[in-house]
Amino acid sequence: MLFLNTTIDGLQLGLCFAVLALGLYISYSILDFPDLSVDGTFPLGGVVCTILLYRLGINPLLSLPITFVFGAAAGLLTGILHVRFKMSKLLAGIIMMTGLMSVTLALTSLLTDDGSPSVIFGFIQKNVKIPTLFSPEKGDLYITAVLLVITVICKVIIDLFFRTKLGYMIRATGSNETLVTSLGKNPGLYKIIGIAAAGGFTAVSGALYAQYTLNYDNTCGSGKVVLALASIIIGTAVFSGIRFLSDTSAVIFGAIIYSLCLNYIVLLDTNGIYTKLLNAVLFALILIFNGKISEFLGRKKGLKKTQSKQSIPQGFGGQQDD
Amino acid sequence: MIELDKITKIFGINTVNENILLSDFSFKAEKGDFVSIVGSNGSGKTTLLNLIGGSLTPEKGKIYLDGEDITGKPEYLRSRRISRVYQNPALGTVPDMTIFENLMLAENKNKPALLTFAKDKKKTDFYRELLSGLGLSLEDKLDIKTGLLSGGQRQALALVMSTMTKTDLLLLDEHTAALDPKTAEIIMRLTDKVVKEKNITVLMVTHNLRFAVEYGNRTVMMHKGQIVIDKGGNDKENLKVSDLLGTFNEISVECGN
Repeated sequence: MLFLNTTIDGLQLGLCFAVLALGLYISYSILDFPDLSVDGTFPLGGVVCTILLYRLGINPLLSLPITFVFGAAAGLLTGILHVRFKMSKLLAGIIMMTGLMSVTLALTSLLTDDGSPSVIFGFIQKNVKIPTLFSPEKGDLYITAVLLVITVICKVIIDLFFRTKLGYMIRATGSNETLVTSLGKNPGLYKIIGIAAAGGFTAVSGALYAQYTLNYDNTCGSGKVVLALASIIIGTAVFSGIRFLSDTSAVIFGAIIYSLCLNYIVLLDTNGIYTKLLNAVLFALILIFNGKISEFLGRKKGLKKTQSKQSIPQGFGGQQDD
Repeated sequence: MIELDKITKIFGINTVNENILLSDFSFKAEKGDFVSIVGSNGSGKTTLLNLIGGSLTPEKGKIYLDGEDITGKPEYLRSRRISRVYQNPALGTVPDMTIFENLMLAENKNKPALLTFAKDKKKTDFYRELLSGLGLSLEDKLDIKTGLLSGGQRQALALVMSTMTKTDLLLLDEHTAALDPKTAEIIMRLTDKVVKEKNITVLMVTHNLRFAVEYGNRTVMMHKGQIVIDKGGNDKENLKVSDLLGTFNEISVECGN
């Protein structure tokens, strides 16, 4: 029973974090921008959503697009720091992350009655429960379904976005900036748009997490970059070779797998001392076996690439000889 | 028409390594000219292209494209009228995107990239026809990522992409240098064909003296930021590789190479 609960928990958390991983997929995988500001944008989404629900009484579903806007604004700033002020990718992220920690803490003062900031804010206040998308009394099936629908909507939005002309330009920017310049477009603009979109999805994930756990914790951002990164790496390593599965779906599955692993670790390590160490070991193992997993499964992208490469006639030198 | 007026370009300004590469350098190419530029390393050929393309800005002087002063214009804005093919075949295409997607990008040059769907299946026939002209059977590989193509195939595609929309000036930066001799020959012939079809003004930097003699209507040799040979019209027709090589050797002896 404990195992089953852990599995369900892991699945649901995995779906929450899948949206986060999708966000980092845009900045990290597509734009090659390892955005460390995620650790700050994630709680920002959480606190903004909590304020919207508790103070403004906004519909829990409607709170998600609004949090997206706040996250996108944070992403916009990260992008501007990097593009306009030529800061390195990592530094721009670190600066935003550091700054946002204070911003989120300051925002929590809007939640407390005496206006003092509070690190933790529960969703049950004076015996009144703040309405969320996931009322626990409706059962796990309902909660999982709602999470799944939201995650899939995010995935579809991202998939569609990257099929537009704007999406093409962002993909091209991540892959070859020189070419984007040659096309008469400013690659900096597309970087900023992409990083902003990534920030938006990160914030939505933070909002989902707060609503799901019925709790806003100002420290919930720590380690989220690693979590998202692990999800992307697992997802793309294990699933990317499957032809009909898009990268975004692979990332979602990666997030679920990683989150399940984390939950099982908690199950193993009952007194909680070695949880973080085991997390680290797990992540290290994933990185070490990154290529091996897919090789073992025999359907890695790289493998497919080399095969298809052989099927292409060698250059045109070869064809000229014919 | 492209004109450089009294350009001065200094590298490492105000340092011990200060190097005045171009000083009061003037150059002009008429509309429809195909100028080949040769010269030893460090003679300022590539700097010349970078100054025109916009990745470098001169310390002094003006650059005019068809009479318009483009000296201070950012690179991406200049690219709307100037196309470029680089020495590195990887720079001319997006390796993570298919040939089809690359062509869509190129066709959308100078048009806004908004939230409209990019892929238009109706274009397939047009693209196939466009690529079949190359004779490299790229038309059958529309859905293959360009990262999987050979250097020569990529360079041919880059050439097609850079001339797909109307362009006033084409800069070729040693675009055959990274290719094997045979492929280089093919790309060079292709370049000549495209340029003649579209009647584009071309500046081509090359280390291949034979290409410099055989192609285009004007040959320029640069040395230490100066033009040492400039042959156009009939003079160019009579120019031989040996003439260029002769001057090259003189220069090299001077430099102690």
